[in-house]
Amino acid sequence: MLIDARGKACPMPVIMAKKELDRGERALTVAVDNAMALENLRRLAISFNTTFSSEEKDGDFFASFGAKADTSLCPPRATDDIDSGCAVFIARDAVGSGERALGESLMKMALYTLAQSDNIPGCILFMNSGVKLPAGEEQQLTDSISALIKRGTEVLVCGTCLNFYGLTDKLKCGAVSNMYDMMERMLAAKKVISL
Amino acid sequence: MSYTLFTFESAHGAIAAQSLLARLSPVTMPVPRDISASCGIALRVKDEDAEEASRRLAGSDIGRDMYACYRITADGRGRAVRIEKAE
Repeated sequence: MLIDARGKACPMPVIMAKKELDRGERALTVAVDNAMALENLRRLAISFNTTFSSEEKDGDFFASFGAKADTSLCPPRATDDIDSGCAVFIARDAVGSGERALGESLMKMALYTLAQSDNIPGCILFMNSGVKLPAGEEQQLTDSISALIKRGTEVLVCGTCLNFYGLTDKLKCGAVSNMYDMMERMLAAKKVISL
Repeated sequence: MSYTLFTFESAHGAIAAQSLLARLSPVTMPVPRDISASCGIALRVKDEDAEEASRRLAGSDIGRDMYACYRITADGRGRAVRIEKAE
């Protein structure tokens, strides 16, 4: 089955593909016209545990979903210190409201402390001005976020927000994502910590 | 792993010190639980930058009784395991 999602804005290609995968369709090809949509489809394949391949043709991308992947080839990594039921939602670039310089320092300290903790969250979701943290020039912040990714935290960054702030090419760490995936993580979490 | 840590008696002092030490790219971190300071914001610098950091603070409006300096021995993640007060 072929879905033509070229010209469709994010997250429509993922929604169209997910609809078919939910129905049980496992021989699906989705045509998209940008790399971000392709990346989102790749992650959809991971969440559905199907094989995935893609090819580029005349500037368009054709993403193919296949049969159920053989997970024995890809053993899950150790997750002792990851609290997979915990999601952290960061929708601003400083903690709380009040004096900006203080809020910025608190955000640096919060991510620094999180990166050093014994228990780290399953995922961190950056939205609105929060995307300025993984896409900014403040190395301390990107170091902390990268350390969490290295330890196994999934970091999703709102693509619409990166685009709005003109930061799409500046993302230093984390994966570009969409409302669909981010809301799914929040709904699946046992607790969501909002900073 | 070791580093030098500056703690402050006021949050305003800590925030002013961030700009003062910006050239040394200090890491802003919470004051370790074993250290007592009025303000919870600490600035971590590389040991080799400690002297310059002290010099810059000494030449600033932040009074000498408004900050303290510590040498920290840390574990792999940077958590303090040994703390020595420095002059």
